[in-house]
Amino acid sequence: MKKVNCICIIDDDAIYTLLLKKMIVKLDICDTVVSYANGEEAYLGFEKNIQQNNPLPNIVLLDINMPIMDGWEFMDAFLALKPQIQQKIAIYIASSSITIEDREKAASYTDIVEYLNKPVVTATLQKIIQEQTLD
Amino acid sequence: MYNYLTLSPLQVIIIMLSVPTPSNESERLNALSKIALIDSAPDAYFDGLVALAAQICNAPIALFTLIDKNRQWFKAKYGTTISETDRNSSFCGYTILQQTPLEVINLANDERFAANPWVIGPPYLRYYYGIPITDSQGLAIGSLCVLNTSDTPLSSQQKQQLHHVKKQLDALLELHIAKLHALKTTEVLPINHHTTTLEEERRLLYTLINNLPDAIYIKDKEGRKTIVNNADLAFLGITNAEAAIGKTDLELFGGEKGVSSYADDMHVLTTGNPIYNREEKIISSDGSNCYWLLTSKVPIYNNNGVITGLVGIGRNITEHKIIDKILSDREEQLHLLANNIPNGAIYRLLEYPNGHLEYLFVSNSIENITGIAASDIRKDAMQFKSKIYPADLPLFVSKANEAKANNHIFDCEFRQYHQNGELRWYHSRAIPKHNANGEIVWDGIFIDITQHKLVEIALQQSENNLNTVFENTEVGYIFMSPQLAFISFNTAAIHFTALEHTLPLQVGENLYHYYPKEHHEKLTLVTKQVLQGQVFETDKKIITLQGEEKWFHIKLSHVANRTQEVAGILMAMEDITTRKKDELELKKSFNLVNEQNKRLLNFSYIVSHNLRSHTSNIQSIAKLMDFADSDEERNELLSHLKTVSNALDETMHHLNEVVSIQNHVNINVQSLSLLEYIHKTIDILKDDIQTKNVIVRNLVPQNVAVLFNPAYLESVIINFLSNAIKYSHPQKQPEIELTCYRSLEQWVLQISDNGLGMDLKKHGEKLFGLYKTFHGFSNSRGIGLFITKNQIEAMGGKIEVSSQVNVGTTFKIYFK
Repeated sequence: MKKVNCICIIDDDAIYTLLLKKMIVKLDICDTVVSYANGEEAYLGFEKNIQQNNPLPNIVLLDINMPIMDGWEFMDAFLALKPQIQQKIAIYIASSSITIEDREKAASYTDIVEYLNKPVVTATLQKIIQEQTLD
Repeated sequence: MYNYLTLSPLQVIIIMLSVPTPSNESERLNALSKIALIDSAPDAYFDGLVALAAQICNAPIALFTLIDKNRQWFKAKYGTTISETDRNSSFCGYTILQQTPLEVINLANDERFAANPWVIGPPYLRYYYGIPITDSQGLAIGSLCVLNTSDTPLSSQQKQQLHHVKKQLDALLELHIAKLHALKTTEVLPINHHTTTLEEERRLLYTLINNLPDAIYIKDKEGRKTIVNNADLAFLGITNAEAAIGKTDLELFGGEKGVSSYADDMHVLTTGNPIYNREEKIISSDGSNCYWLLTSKVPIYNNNGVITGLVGIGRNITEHKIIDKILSDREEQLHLLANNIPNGAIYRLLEYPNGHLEYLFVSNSIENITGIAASDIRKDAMQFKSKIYPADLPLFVSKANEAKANNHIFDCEFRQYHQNGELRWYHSRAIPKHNANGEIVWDGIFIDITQHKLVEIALQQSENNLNTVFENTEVGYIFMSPQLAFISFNTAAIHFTALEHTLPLQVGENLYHYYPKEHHEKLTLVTKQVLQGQVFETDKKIITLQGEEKWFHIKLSHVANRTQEVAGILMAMEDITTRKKDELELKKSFNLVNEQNKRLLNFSYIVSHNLRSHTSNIQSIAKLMDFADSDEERNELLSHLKTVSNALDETMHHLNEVVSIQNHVNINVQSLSLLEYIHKTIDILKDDIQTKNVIVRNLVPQNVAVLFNPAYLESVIINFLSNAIKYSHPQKQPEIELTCYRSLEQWVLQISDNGLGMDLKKHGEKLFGLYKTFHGFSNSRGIGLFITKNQIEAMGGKIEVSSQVNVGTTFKIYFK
């Protein structure tokens, strides 16, 4: 199985985050898993890594409905940071929302690779890794 | 200059000299009487000559005077209206004393004339020039003279020209005498035969016949012309009499006319039977002219009773003929017209003093419209009158009497039976003329107007129907001039206007008076658009004088007349109160349903989202269980499962709560004391308040009662107060203020804090969504505001929020 360096989970559901982390570790598809409880935390973490020249995650699994800074707000903040980012970051939306509006909004961001419905299962994770390690 | 102004007329006469008489005075007077001009009628020829004399001599007055025994009489005058004067005050009395003209250059200086009234008084004459006029024997009978107020003498040229005029006057006088003689000759010819020569007789005869307008000729027994006059020559188209003398009509006329005229001549000459007044048509030899002649031919007998010739007289009656022709044509046309009046006839009716009627004339066309022949009507006028429909007879008679009494036109529409029994409408119009016998002649026209009348009646009926509809419709109509002055309106319009205005609807009143001044500009604009052809429609709410709310649909449209000119504006007013209320009710319930729908959709998203997040976690745990390597790990996963199931239970509980609010639209509502519930809440939260050292300022007055469900009110107040405590600012002492006031008949509870506040620009729309939290607190579930909002709305209220980060938040709860 191919591996990436780092997968990042941004979600306010602690249980979900914990379980997903366990799954990723089990599948052994990355070296490190990081998680943030909302958009703001993730943004601050990204900013800090850029300042310290630390690598950023290769894959981001982003929830939409979060307190303080939701998924969309994070996307806008991320786009502002993007000029300072050299490496490629693949962002996947992972939400339990079934509204068509959210899907359409996701499609409008070129940086969002795909819109995933929760729960994210092992097959999905394996597919993501395959996509992201092709080259 | 003499000053005669002081003299009396008597004195003037004394001074005036008497005019001397000539030595042959008696012969002269005899000659004058023979001429028979004294006191004769004015003669245009003589007058013309006198006027010419004045013209030539540039004199204000010119006269042809005749000096009678004691007076001078003006046969012709120019420049004066006086017709005679005393012989002694004449100038010409002196002129006849001499053979040559008399010229007096300054009359005032001449002793003969210095006292003349025309010299001393108006026209103050100063110059006289008179030429004596003599008869054929040389006896002076009068004078041709000119008179002037200036004493400038005539020039020799003027004198010469005046003498030419005198010659003309002589000729005219001779002609007059000749005529006089001619008249006398016919009567006295045998007696005076010896006194006049044959030559003279012929001359007189010629003069006479040449001056007659009728053609006169004499023919010998062979029918040859021996004497013709000028009129006859003119008829023949010949200028020279020699060309006609000795010729028969055969030669003179030629052709058919020549033959027939010659035959007539021969008939008269041989039989002696005269022809009297026979009309003949003569075409001139060149064919250009056509004459009508009234011819008489009478034989002439000699002393032995033998016919020696004939005398003929032809009178030109062409003009009469033409006039006769025109008149007869006219009469024919009139007759034609009278008998061909479409649907009509003309008549002349004679009404005798005893009331009996007789038609003097009725057009034949009367038969077309009444079925009765004109001849029958003429025979029995009373029978015709009896055909008038009895009900219309009184009107007919009263109109006829009125016309007779006032001498004005009789004009009546009435029904009368046609010969075929049908009742028809007729129109009669006639002018009455009273004649000397007390009779009245009616000249009139009689027209069948049945068709027209039936259409009129039908039209009237349809107009009545239309009026009934107009009056009975529930839509109010006002017809206005382009300046919005009322022209007409129906009952509904009166009723509607009276609902709102004390000013009653009346003709001539203006729409502007029913609107307040501030609306006039808009009204003017709308009027302009409507006059340009637009239709203006609006729904208007009015408050009636009784304070009732009513809705009207107002429609303004322009009305054009037949020539497409704008005649005015029609305003239609329809009471749509019921419809409007239904509409508003419908809109309200539509909004409600719509809102409910939105909420349901939102709710389904929420349910889906919240339940899925738990079920997906359970799914994940189950999956991880399969891969679990150790019991330890499995135990850990089980403990996670427990957490998830607790969370699921809590979510289910919340959703239940939401569903119960949504379901119970008709939940129990009571009048509750707001203050009482606030006290209760503060008591429940007193531990938190003490721990965080919160200052609560409760300024809600005691008497405020709101209609609310008791459980909801408690829940709502707890939610807001606990939020205010929970999100207090860490660097400030928490303060909460509760106030209550009225806004638009609603109670408003306002809860303000000095806590963390929120960025409403970012979160405003999500604030009351389910599971929204904006602060990083782990116990923020976000369910509170969602439920609170639902509870308030379920009670018919609403909620408003204002907030500023690090300053505080204010919630306003509007109670129904």
